[in-house]
Amino acid sequence: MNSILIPTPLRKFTGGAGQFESQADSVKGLLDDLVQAHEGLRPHLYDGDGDLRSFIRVYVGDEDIHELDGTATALAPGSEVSIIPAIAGGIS
Amino acid sequence: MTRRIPPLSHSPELQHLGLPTGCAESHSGEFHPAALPLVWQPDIQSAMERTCLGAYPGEGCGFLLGRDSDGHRTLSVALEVDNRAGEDQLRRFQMTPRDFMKAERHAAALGLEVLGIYHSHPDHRAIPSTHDLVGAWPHLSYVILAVDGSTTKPQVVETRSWQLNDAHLFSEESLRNLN
Repeated sequence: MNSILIPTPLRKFTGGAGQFESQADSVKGLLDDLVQAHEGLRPHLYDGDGDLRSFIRVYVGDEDIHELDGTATALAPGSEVSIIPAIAGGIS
Repeated sequence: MTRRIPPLSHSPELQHLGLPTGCAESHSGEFHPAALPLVWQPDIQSAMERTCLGAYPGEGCGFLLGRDSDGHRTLSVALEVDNRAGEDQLRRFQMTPRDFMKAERHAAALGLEVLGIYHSHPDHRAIPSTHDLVGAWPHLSYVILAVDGSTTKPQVVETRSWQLNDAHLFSEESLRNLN
């Protein structure tokens, strides 16, 4: 079983749950299971092309999946995945 | 430097900020305030102002930690974060995922949660820009401080808070300082 941690800004779409568990053995599988279970998350995680939004980072443990195999990153049993928002803005 | 922050009704940057699409606005031009006020403990305002004045002419930023009880939010900690926008920090702010993780861990250690983000708009109104909207997250309160640098000493002249609504537009939150 692998788990994914949901950041506080997105917990309103998981009924308040901060964690989701799945048997998926890849980051993509885990994200797919998460979005299937909580459809309201989809527009906050994916853009119109189905890619992860640029403001989203996904970590396996302390490693950014961009430094691994992206969403194809395989998960060993017991892996802890985190969805982390990047925060940005400004006057223009 | 002679830039001045004009009154809302005369602000030339409103069009630039894309207000009609960025904020919840009625046909009369009034903003729809969120139902519940955002309450903060003493020192939050001064802590945010220190960050934003220290960063001027760039944008300052940080996280706001507190407690949320059925939508009644009380902020008790302002956590300053370095602006990671690099050369763009005169008009942008950025906080990294690692900054967010650290803030969440810090909040959890205090029995709090990350409830908001604050940042400054140097020489612009405390109104979300289209860029603020693109990068905005639900649930978080976005506190914006307008810093006016036209005076001898820069000063914060406006503090307002906003939160995304279900239509992915910003609604303004009323503010209440416990001071």
